[in-house]
Amino acid sequence: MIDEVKSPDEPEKHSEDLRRKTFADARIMWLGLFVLGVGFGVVVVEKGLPWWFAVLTSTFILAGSLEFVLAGLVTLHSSLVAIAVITLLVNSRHVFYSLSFPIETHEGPIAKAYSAFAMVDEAYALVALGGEGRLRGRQLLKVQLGLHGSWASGATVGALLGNLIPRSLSGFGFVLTALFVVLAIDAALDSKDLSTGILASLVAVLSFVIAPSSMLIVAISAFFVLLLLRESTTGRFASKFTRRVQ
Amino acid sequence: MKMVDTSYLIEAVAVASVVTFSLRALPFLIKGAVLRQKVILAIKSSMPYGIVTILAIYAIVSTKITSWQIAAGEALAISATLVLHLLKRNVLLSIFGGTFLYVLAINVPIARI
Repeated sequence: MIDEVKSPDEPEKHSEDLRRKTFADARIMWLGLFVLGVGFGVVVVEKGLPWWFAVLTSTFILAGSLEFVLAGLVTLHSSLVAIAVITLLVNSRHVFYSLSFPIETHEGPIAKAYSAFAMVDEAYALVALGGEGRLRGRQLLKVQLGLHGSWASGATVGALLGNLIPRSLSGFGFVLTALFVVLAIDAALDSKDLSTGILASLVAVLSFVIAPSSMLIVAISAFFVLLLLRESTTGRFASKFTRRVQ
Repeated sequence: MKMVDTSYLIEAVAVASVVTFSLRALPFLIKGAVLRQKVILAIKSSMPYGIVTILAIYAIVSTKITSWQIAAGEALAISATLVLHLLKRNVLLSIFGGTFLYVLAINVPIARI
């Protein structure tokens, strides 16, 4: 049978197909971020801030939840030091992302710097998983440019059109929730290690109960510490497991 | 409403932008040294799995629940996404199936109880 004869370039072709599929999935995120961006733009003008504030934050900060917080802070005329500290707290989770984000697949310092700048939750979730179909290099940059462009254009449209935008549109922001749920299921199915997912879920729910306003950073750092503890107590088994996976 | 000072707004965005970019970019400069630690290498592959799970739960619980209709819509749509994905493993189908249900459920006119 022809099927049984594997040509030498087949594995490469297989992962190229998988990458194309991941890239297609990534475009759903553009839609989701555009819709959320519109919502953000509407909030900015409703707070009495100028429309260009939404354009500036979405273009130069590119961190959804922080931008909502910032819009609130500037209407209260918070000090720049307070803004710096709150930004640090809200976005410190990104420090952990660098461990698994394939920035080394980009050529040149500009591409690397941009990829780090645009390392939003959505890009991380998409790239960190994916196994063989893991996006890298140019494809990853395209996904990030698309995420950036969707968020910024959504925010601009929302800020300019304001209340003309039908409320029912906001429901489409569910695209992003659904996408994170799907990625989490795929991660659990791919790793065949349910305990890590259960640990993360417990940590997330507990963090929400204990510290709802800073849930993400509390949950992610607690998860990191627990993983370290688990590794140092059961290291032998875990390293055997990783070797098998690789 | 009184207009907020333009230069203050620009400074605020600049501060938040620099802090955010530093948090995202600086760790890459020391990544090599960190990755040489055996324990970090061992947990590196479990981090994305856990973080994505945390982000999914965050996305679910951070929805503003202002009515029972939104709560029911969200519960319904998430269950649909879960079931569709476990059965078919088709990303587009799971996401758009769930979203379609959600938009339908929160917009359909129902008498308030």
